[in-house]
Amino acid sequence: MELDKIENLLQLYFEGETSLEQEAQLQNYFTSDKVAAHLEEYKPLFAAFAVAREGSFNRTLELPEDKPKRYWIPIAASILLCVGLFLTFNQQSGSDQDLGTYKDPEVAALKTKQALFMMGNFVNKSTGNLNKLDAFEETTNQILK
Amino acid sequence: MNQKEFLAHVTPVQDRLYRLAKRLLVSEDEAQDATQEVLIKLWSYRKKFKKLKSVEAFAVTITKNHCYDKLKLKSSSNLQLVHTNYEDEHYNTVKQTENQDSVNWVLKLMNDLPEQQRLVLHMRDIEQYSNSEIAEELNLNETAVRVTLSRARKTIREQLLKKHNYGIR
Repeated sequence: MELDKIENLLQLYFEGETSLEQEAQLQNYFTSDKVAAHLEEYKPLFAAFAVAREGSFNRTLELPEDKPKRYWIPIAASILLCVGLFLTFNQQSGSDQDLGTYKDPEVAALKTKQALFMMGNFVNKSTGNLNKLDAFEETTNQILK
Repeated sequence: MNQKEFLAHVTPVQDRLYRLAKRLLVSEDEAQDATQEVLIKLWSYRKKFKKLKSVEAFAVTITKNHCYDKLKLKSSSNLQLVHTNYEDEHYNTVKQTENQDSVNWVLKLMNDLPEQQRLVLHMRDIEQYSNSEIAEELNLNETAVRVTLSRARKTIREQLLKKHNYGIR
């Protein structure tokens, strides 16, 4: 390649006016062993570019696995919630209607009696236990008079 | 998109991303780390690939921002970036042993350039992107790219000639 042309290209190169093809020509020229003596000083520049082009990524790439998306989880959760709400409200409204009343007045009276007797029994039992407390009173009366 | 398709997109680009990261971060290990992180980030964006004009441009932008973040983190935590990785085994491939020093010198000069110039010079002279691609990826106009490029090249030439002529003139 004519020296004039190279010198001209070099001039343009430093002005940033060369095309990629022209830069490839320069690269070729300066990495060959026919570089003119007065252009010798530019050799390391193009040699450096060639060297810098060599590095490569050498790690093995471990890509994180995709977690399978579980679309059914939110759906199942919302269904469960709906069912739960439905059941609790149903139960409440059911207990509102059924208050445990008896239709037959005789049976009702009997049951009430029974219930009152049962309560009476409990009361008697517990007041019976309270009688034992009198013992304290007796002893204190003996001492204090 | 499965792993295979993803790798088909990414494998041709990953070395470029690595070299870009290395240009910005200087350290080889850090560049490898950064590339790995960027690729994993890309993997998480893979569903958007179809909407992108160019996956590569997107990847370059992510890499650039990732490296800037890393550099910012470093300077804020008062850790100095230690430039120790200039001499790596690749340089042995250069046949002209007498030029090896000067080659390393040029690489060092490149890393001493301001970030924007370094990036533009790297993308143009090492990765051989066109000016319009560079403009798009760095959010500049093409004139700005050309001016930056010229400035970077001239700075390196100046330093290089200074060294070359040291003790002669």
